[in-house]
Amino acid sequence: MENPRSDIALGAVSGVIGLALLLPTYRESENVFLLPGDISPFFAPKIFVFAWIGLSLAIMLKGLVTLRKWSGEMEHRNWGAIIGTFVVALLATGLMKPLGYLVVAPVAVFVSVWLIGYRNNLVNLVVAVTVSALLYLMLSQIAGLTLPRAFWQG
Amino acid sequence: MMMENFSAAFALALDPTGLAIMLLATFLGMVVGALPGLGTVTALAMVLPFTFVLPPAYAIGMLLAIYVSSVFGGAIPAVLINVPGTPQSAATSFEGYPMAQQGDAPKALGWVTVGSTIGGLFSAVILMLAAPQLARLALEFGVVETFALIVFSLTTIAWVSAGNPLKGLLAGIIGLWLSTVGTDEMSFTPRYTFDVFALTAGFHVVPILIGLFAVSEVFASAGKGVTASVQSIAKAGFKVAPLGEWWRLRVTLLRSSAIGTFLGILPGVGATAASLIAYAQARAGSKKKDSFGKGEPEGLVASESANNAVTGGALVPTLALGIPGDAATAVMLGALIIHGIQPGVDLFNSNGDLVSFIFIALFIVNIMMLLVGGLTSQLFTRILKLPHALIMGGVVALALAGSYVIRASILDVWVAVVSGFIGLLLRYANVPAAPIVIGFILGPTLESSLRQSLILKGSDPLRFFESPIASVFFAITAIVVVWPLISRVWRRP
Repeated sequence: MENPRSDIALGAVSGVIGLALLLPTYRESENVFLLPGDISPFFAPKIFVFAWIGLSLAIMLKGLVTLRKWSGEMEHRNWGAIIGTFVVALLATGLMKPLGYLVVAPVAVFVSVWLIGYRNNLVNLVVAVTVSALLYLMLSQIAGLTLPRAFWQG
Repeated sequence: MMMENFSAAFALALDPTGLAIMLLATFLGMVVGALPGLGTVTALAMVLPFTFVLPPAYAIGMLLAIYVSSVFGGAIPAVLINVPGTPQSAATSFEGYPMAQQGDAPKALGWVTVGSTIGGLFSAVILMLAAPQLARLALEFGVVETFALIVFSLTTIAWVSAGNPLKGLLAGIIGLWLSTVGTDEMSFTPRYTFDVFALTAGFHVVPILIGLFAVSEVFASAGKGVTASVQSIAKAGFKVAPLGEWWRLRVTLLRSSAIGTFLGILPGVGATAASLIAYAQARAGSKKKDSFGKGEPEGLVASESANNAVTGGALVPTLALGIPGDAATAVMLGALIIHGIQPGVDLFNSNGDLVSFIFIALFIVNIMMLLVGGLTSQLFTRILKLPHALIMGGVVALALAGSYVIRASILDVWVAVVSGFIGLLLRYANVPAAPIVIGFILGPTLESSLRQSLILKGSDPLRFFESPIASVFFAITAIVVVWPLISRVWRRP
């Protein structure tokens, strides 16, 4: 049996997001000029958003109904490490353009691996630098795809 | 005409560069499939950016090789460490691991590899026979029928892909909504751009895929705190059983391959269900029922031939109708569209060479899987000892690079990271990610067919039922949705 508390949380958060999306859906659709017989570009999004809200409510209600019967335990998760890895990924994204992929990726890899729990720092460092450099070489130099250049590369 | 297509396709398929790419991708797919937690969709998402610089045929060959071999790769850890690399190989561990514990790991890998190849080749034959017929049937489809077909597929996939159908449907709807962000192609109206210029081009499928499947796995690993590498691992090898033993299992092989191919064609059922059903069928029909669970080759080949047969089966509706059967074929469909190839009737009419190439490439990658599996099996004892955290480090580097290179846009990296975190929360809430991807990929076609149908029918959706084909699809959709509810009420005392 699924955890009804997570269902209630999912339904509530997803329902609020759905409601928040209704506002721009209606506001933006007011500015659209339509010819007779034409279908508004917001017709399908409105259906999707209403279905989104309806399903969220249904999931939340199901969670509320089954809450009493549930006797399971919450699974333990290391939220500190999860948030840490997420913040590292966000910082890496924000700094990738100004500092370059070759600078940011090895640091992001090293810190993420450390946060996941691997403590052999030397191996971690070698892997972080090698994998990032190899990827940069393959994508940027061999395949000719664009990656943010390091600040010393101009 | 057909023969001309095939000779051109053969020339394309036997091109040394293309073969080398497929060979490398086969090995890569096997490795990613073998690493628990990554799986087929992650493997496809991670290599997708690399295909942008390749000609379409090479790119398709590469993706097919990754697709087929990653499904097989999941069986290797199932045999060696009792942890299936992908959910599709869950049933394989029931027999493979006991066999490995008895010191027969090389023999188990032999059964698994050859069984997978037979299943894959069987499904390739069915793909070759069925896809052109289905595409011909699809000539009857107008916009109303296309709309009904997508509603049917998406509902079925969402309904059957999760334990809780409501969550599957919610995921599908999220995917559909995501596809509406950006400039509307029919009216050029910006939607949900919130005055951010970068959003006018809409979201790209690759960062969403990388986020939902790869980045979320990194966050999940952090949550679990994976540190230790695998300690107890059977010594790998490759030993094929004598022909006589294979002959004894011919009915199981054929039945399991047929089950896999058929379930692959159906939307949403997938390889996991196929392998479990084939395993159960093999056990039920076996004369050696008691030896199941103790290392019975019949159970091994049933599971593996079925899950690999799904690959060809799932490509039937993907190529013929442009409707993917699961998340992996949705990625394949997305990749084809990125390379300017629109699956469906037109693909068969205007691009016969490429269709024939796909058929031939599927045969080639299955044979390559046998060769690479046989030659590299011993390497997997070492590969599976790699610390999971270091593999996740590689995923971080690939995710950052892979999501950026598609459009050289930092927005795509933000999308990958944020969808990774959302993907993790959805995973914890038991919401499947696959319907999001399928909804996102099918969204534009669903929306344009709906709007065109409404214009055609004078804004009256009830007139959609004037089409018998559409009515059938709507009726089946209703049955799929309502049937589980009815059966639940029925079962109540």
